[in-house]
Amino acid sequence: MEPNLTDKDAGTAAARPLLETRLERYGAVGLILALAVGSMLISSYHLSLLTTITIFAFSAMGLNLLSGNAGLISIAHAAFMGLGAFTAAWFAIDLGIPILIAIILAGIVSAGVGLLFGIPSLRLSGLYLILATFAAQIILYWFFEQALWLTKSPDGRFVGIPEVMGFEFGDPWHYYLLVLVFTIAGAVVYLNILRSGLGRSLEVIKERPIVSQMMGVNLQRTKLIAFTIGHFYAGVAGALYGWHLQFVATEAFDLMGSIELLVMIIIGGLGSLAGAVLGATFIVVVPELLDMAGRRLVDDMGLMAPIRMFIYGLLVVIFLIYEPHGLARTWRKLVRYFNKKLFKNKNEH
Amino acid sequence: MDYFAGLLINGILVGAVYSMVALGFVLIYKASRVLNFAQGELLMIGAYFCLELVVRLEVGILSAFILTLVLMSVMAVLIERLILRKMMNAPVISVVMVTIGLGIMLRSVVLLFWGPITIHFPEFIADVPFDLGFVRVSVIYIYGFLICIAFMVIFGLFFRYTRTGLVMRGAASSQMAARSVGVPLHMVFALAWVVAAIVSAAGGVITGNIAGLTPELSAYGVRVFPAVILGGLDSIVGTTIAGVLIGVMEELGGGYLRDWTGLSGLGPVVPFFVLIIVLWIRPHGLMGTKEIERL
Repeated sequence: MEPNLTDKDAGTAAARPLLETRLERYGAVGLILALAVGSMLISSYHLSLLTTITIFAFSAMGLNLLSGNAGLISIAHAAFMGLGAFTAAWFAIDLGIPILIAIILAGIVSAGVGLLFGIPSLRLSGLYLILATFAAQIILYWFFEQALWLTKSPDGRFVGIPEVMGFEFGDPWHYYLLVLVFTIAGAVVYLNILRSGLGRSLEVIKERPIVSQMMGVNLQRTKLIAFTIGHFYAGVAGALYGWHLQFVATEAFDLMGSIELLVMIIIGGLGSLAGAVLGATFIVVVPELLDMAGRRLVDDMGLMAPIRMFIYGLLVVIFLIYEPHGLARTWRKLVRYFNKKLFKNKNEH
Repeated sequence: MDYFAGLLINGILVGAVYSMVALGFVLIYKASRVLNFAQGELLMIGAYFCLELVVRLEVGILSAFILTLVLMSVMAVLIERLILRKMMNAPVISVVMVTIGLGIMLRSVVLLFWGPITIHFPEFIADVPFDLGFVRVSVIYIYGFLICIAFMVIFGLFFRYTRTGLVMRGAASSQMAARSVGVPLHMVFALAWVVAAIVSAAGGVITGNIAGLTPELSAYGVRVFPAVILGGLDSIVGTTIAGVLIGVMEELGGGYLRDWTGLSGLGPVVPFFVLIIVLWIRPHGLMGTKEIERL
């Protein structure tokens, strides 16, 4: 059997409270406050990066639930984000539905279509599903280029400044707060799924599909639920991303986009919230750093893109070989190390 | 009628390349249960190697072709030794991602050294149309088709009649059993990669000669997936037939469906609809092993 790469400490095993210790409670509140206030103080460029990271962290949670926890590997997550972005824009602008409802509806559409492509996986092992989702990526991308009633132009459509109940999100900071609220809600749902029966069902259908049925876990149903939730996250994230850039660019949802999302959860860590967040941060920040370094070191900017691409590919390969558990595990090791140092006789677990 | 025949013949000729590249894909899958997402990149880099030998080093086309195959074999062994051997017991998602990462690296190398432009091979054969009686075909297509057939026959005979071929078939049918009778699995995996690299490079040189070289050639690796699923993920014969079928579908889809539906760019997408439908109703494909578990 394949070894399990999901972080066992991530909280799926025991149904403990979301925020158990005082440190965790204060930490969570502090982090949220720091993000909300700190985002007001940074430059608009960094705020834009932060918003992107937050949206991708949200999307990566969905993919992590699907691929990291349930083991259903999807290589079409970006396409489903695109589907969400375009349908949300269509609902909100063409049909005049309020934006918040449009975002939720986009998630539902995404989930429905995701379900359709997930049907083969009900009877098949994972390898076939990868190819099925691959086909979904190709077909959806082609659909974006063709369905002009939805996408307005093959390159994408402008969506303008979002407006919720008369309030215009003209200030990027306000929009960031909206994204943050969505992402925190998504994170709470994700964590609660992991520590509920459903989370354990997902884990067991990945690890031991036959055992799962013996134990009374309905395999087909659990897979369908995973598909629905995972693609719902993708659709909502896509909608948020569209209004973040105020332009839904078809290009952003190509195969490379889907690969990047997979890279996020692998580098971050499969099957945990920390994995999704750290992975999204890593994948957004590292290219920026490389660009910054590149501007100093490489004169010919034409060479920069391929060099960046090479480093990116190399990082993926190196991570998979040497740190297959991702950054989340590295992080947890660090925390545990300092815990031991600081609180020698307390908190023994 | 001529329109139809033209599309059909074109489809068969293009499909032959798919069949050959798919052979490499299926071989790696059979030997080591790895889905090689870098297959298209192997094809691309092989074509660029050959171009470099011909243009920069002024080697004759035939020796350049053979040298390319040798170079690609060395590279395949390195890939297997340095990357995939370390992933032997890793879960599916990691192995798939490692081949994707490898593909990204190969593509970036091509972009770095050759750029995103289309480069054409110097013309080796005068591009005269060849008259098949009812339709005229470019003579390069015919040569390409014959080379594909030759390669597939050679590898068919290799698997059928040589000892090494037998060992590889054995390892594909049961790794456990093969290992217990002393088959060096690493060698088998490496050899599978070598064969895959060789057929891909050959496919790359052929398509490169027809349409010119761009990093876009790597898309061939993707186009092979429908053929692989339609033929059956682990059936070499099935995949060979399906490769041609997919080629024909692409051409006919691009040609007729555009007129009927008014949708453009349908050609390359049609096979993926087929892929989904095949997975819905007959996931083991035309000739694959029916290993469907009720999972």
